[in-house]
Amino acid sequence: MGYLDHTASFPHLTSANSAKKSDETKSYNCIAWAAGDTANWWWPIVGRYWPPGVPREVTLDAFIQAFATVGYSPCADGAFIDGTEKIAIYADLGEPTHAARQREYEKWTSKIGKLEDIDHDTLQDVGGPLYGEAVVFMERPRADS
Amino acid sequence: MSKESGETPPQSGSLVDLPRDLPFHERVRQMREQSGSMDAMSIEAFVTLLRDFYGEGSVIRVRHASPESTCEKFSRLAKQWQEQSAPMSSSTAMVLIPAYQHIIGMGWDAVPLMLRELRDDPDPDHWFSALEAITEADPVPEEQWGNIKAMAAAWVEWGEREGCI
Repeated sequence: MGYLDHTASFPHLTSANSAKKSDETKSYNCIAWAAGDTANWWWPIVGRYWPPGVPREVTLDAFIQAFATVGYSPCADGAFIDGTEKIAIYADLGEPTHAARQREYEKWTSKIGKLEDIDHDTLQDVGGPLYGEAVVFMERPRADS
Repeated sequence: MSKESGETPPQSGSLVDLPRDLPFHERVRQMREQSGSMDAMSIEAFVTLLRDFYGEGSVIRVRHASPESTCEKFSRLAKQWQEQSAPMSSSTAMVLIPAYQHIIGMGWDAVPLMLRELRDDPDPDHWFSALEAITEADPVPEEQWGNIKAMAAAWVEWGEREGCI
């Protein structure tokens, strides 16, 4: 099953507002992908990768600290700014669930769990019962700018 | 069963409304005809029949035989878990899926099956928490935490060393 088969989890995601960009792999997740790491599965539990020194807690604060280790700092929203790379952290009932990285104007990239990387037009496209909604935004200078 | 037929006095509250002087097996046959199948309610009635026959104070235990082999059960649960966990990034949420918990509940029977999955799948799945829970082993060094393929290799090596696969 590909990401488009999980309609109950992603009611807003369609072939019109998204595109597959990689094969499926269980080697890295959305948090790792947003941080630019395709070698590890990031999650704050014993047995998974978590940046050294960051509390192993499934809290927004811990996730903010984790992304700070790769140069991100909190910002107001996901509005595109030329020369700036942004991420959005999703939460459901206050607990982090997902992260998406801004690729370009009106284009975000997400690793869908153990499935594919995809591009999607808006943050709401991957929102829903599984990921909740984007609640925290962070930014860093874009490397290729 | 050794109770003689026709000797049990009628008792109130019985779910089985059949003549009590019938032999035990004839009562069972007629009860099954009445219920149509041995469903849960029929099993309850059957237990009551046994209790009527052997008298108050008798202890009746019902064990439901599994129609599945260990491999079949693991395959079924693994498929369910993999489908449900596929879009998840949260390792915490993955482990809480009931199918994964049932695999942990299979105990050591599931260990070689998970180890073979880790050995044979070029994109190994996250069986690690289940293996740790069952075996209490911890063969993955901290520097490999999150490197899924390295973690899989560490567990396979452990399994071969322990004679599990």
